[in-house]
Amino acid sequence: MDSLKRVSPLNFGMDPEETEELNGFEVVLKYKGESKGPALIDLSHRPRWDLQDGTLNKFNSASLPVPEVPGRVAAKDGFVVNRLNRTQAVIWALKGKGPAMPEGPSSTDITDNSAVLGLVGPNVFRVLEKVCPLDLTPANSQAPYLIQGPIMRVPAQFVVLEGVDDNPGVVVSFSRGYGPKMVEVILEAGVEFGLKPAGEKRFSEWYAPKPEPEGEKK
Amino acid sequence: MSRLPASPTQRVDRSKVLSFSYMSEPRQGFEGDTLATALYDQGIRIFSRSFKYHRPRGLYSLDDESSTTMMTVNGIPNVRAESTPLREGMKVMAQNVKGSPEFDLMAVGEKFDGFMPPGFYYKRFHKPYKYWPFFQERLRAAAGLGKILPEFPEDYYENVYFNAEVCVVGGGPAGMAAALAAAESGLRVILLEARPYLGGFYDWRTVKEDGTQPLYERGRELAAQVAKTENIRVFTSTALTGFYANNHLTARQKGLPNDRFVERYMEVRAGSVVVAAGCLERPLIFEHNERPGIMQANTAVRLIRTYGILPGQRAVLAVGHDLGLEAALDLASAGMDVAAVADSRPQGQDESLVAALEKKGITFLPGFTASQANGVKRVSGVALTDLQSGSAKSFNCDILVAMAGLSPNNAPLAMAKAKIVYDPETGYFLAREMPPHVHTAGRIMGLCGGAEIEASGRLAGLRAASESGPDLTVALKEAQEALAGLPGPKGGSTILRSPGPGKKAFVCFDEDVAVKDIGYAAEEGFNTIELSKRYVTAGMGPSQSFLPGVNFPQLLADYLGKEPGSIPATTTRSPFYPTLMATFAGPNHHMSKKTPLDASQKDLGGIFRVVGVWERARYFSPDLDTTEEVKAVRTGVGMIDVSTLGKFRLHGPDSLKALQRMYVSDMSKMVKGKLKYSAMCNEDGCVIDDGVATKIGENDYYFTTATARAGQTVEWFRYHTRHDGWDFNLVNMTDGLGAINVAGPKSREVLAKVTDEDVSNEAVPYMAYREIKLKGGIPARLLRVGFVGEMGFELHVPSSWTQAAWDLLWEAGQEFGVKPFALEAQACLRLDKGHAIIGTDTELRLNLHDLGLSFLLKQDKDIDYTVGVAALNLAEKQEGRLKAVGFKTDVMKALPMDGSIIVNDGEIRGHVTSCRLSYALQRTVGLAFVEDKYSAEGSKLEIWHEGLESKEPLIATVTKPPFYDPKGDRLKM
Repeated sequence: MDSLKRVSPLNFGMDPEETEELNGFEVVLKYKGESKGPALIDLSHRPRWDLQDGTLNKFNSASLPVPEVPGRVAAKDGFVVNRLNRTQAVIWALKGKGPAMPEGPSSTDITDNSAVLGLVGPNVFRVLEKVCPLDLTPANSQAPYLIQGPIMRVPAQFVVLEGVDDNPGVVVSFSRGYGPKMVEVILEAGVEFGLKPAGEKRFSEWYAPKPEPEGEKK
Repeated sequence: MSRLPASPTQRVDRSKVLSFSYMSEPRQGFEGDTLATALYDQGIRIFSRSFKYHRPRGLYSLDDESSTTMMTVNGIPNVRAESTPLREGMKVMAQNVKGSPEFDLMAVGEKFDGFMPPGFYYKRFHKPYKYWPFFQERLRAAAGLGKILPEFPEDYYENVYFNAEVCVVGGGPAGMAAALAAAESGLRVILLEARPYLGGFYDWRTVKEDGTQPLYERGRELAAQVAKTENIRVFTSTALTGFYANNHLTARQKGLPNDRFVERYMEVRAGSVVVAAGCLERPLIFEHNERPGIMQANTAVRLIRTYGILPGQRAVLAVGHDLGLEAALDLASAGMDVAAVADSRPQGQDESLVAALEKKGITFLPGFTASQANGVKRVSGVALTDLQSGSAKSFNCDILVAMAGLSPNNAPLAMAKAKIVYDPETGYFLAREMPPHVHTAGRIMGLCGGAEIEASGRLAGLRAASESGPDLTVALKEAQEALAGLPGPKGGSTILRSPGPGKKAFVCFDEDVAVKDIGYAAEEGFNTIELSKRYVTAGMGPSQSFLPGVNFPQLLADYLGKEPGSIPATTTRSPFYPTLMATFAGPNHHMSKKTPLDASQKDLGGIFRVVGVWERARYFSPDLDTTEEVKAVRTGVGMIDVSTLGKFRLHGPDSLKALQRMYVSDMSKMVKGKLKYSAMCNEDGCVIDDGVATKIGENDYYFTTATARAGQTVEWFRYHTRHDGWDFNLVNMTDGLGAINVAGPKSREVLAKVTDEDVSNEAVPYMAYREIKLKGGIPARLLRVGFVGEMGFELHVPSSWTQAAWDLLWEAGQEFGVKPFALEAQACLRLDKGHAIIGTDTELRLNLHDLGLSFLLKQDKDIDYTVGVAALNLAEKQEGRLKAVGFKTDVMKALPMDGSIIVNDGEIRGHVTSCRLSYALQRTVGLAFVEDKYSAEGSKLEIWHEGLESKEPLIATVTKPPFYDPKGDRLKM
């Protein structure tokens, strides 16, 4: 028997160049021959929790800033809190170890419930237009924000971390079972834009705090 | 190829020669050609034969307005050559001919046209009716367009979805001006244009309306401005196909040679829409008005200006608009001999154009129109008739340009529910009372000159943009004032038809509908447009109503003695332009789910089927025999992937109330560590789901549902508690927890090897629930259940750990001869116990009582009502209901198919829902539902099924399940 490991629902079929162990997963940090264009990144191993309560706002704190309005997203230290509706939010630890699962009966570990993909780099919205009818860049939207709706008719949550500049980024989450098919579909949609799989390092580097422009440093 | 010298208006790239074949002969064209223009350049003049009379048809339009250029391209029938970009290697064949387009044996049918008036099927072949099938077969064989290719060529088609604040339909001057104006506010603007380039009717025109700049240059200047405006996305070769509520537009984009897709389906959701779809040329109706060589004015001019092709040698024009006069000058400038220009308007022409005609020595005949074209396979001459005196002049020609006038392209507006009304001033049907956030611009408003067209576009673009928020008060005022200072709508000729019998004066080319046919229909009482349309079939061909357009209702009004404009055009329906089914299908991805054990099940030889949304192993034997799988479970141990089961966590103070509302049992009796089996019903008391539930904490529950119900359960709970304000929360864990059922007499021994927990019968009895750890610290929920009729343990494991858990169990099971089993084996095993599968062995006519599950129902529980119980109480004593029963066939191994009907006393009394040969019993057992009078134990059922070799039914005896281990001893070992 090989050592027991957790398995991601997604497999890009590429050779890893660099990996690390995280929470029982062998996470690919980088694949051999990665390109520098738009990237599709498996983030399914990242911890995620469901938070449901009739009075959800009571959880709002400095360590867990639950947005007050559905559709809003709070981002802090590599984790994001997405307010889904009046009584429900989900927490994604997209970088580092993230916080521990909020204590109490209102929280459920849903890391394995969904598959999560990061899309970063130019034209990722152009790729998503081919698989998703939603307006992911509505007028007057200020990233980060949450959009809920279908991708290839599969219910999904989209968190737009960076809007429509030259290097946008979106994280999309949907039922785990659809993961393999969704990867196939998105990669096919992205052929003309050069969309390729990439390891988690590409995402964490993209999601690193951006240096302030020279003139704006305080 | 013999083209005119290159000119700035041309759109063909002469450096890129494309080779293709037509009727198996090699041909060549240039990149930028359509298939039709390349063929025309190669001397092809007859492109097709008509649908009914097989009359020769040529190149009439260039914008998909008629079906005269439909051909079979690369095996795909009904491709419009006139709008299909030429591609290297195309294989083009004529269609709907016996022989060739030049010599079509089917053309003999026209000799019998007198026998084919509207409705001739009914008039000629239904009396006596007994002969109709004979004629029907032959008529159907003769009808139809093209032949479907069974093996559709593989290529790439896609769907794409756009969102924008403003969408502009039409990339002519008005559309471009609208897009530029809307984009000034930084909004997202989408511009759709049916042709492969922007420019509209500016694109080929060399006149200088402002005295300085040719219109084509102005068009390209606007196009360049659009191209450099980042927030305008331009989609050319993109024809609008539908305009739905809330500005939901659909379009079809044809791929150009460098595009990845052949064709793609597009949906656009826009805050506001500007429709600048321009005008269509209204066909002139006269005898033989569709002979090859007769074409629209814009077709003749574009052949010259856009494609560098001289249409012919000698032209006559019969027109009703100044654009026709302009066309005459263009043809003459290109080197054609223009013999005469007839204009149905006695006066009102642009004087400068008339003067230019005179200057070129072209005979100009105001108040004249074409009354008859001569020639059979090609036009060879035309009679031009004075509309006042009736006197005629004859001219020889090989090209006849014919246009009655213009007609606004109202299809998108009509579908958007704009009110379209007849404007007697212009003779146009114009859109009034627009739907919210829809605007018009340009020629569709009846405008003619470039200045007013562009000004109207700017105003419409600003109006559309302002609806998304920006304050454009000042700009709007300026744009309104600018437009107000320019000429308004101006019509052309309103001529409907030329003098003549109308027998072969065609209103609809697609269906060979002539003027006289409309007269027949009116005489026979088809006096409304929709009835007449269906009777004469005008506008029911492939190009729908583009050519019949407004001529058809106006002619009907004329026949009925009604005022012009009193009869509206026929209903506009999408798709306005033909779209391949492959385009709608797109890449055709089947979005099915895989379980966490998908790969290992395949490695073990699993044969998969799509079941609902999941891909699941159905067999593990290539010959689909399940004997070994079943045997393993009955005698040793088997493992099955049951990850697709619905799994839910329910928590919160009012969780128990929610359970009591949904489940028929008293769920308050649940205790930690013990499973409770129950069912959910719909409002009619019909069973929609069953599963087990348990309490896992204070106000915290875990329950399972059938696979098919997993996706609906959260909404089902929410819907049935929507008025209560209860505080409970549901988490769908279906995908988050994989599930493995280890079943069989040896299952405990296997389980014991992978956990340090006590899994003895005392520690984990039947229907127990435990949370345990497997080796390696893998967390698992352990459910002691027995669906397959043997001792069994269902392990619910976080999905990322499920493969590891399977591997542990599989390795542990080797010494016990463990085998995988799949859905079909499970179906056989559970049938031994008579366990119904919801959806397979149930349906919406069967309630809880009918299924024999009344024991689950608890009436006096602490809840105001339970979904379905009121209906159950009403139906409890109802007679004549269907009942679910078990049966055994009298012949031990006779095997009726699932779904076989049960016919007793000469009537269908029910049907078999599941039936299998039991390994344990070595005989056939099954479930069925039958009328209650046949449901008593011992009743005989007469079963018939498709393919039954005997003329006698299979006889089965109603037997109360379970058929195997009736006391359940094997579950509780």
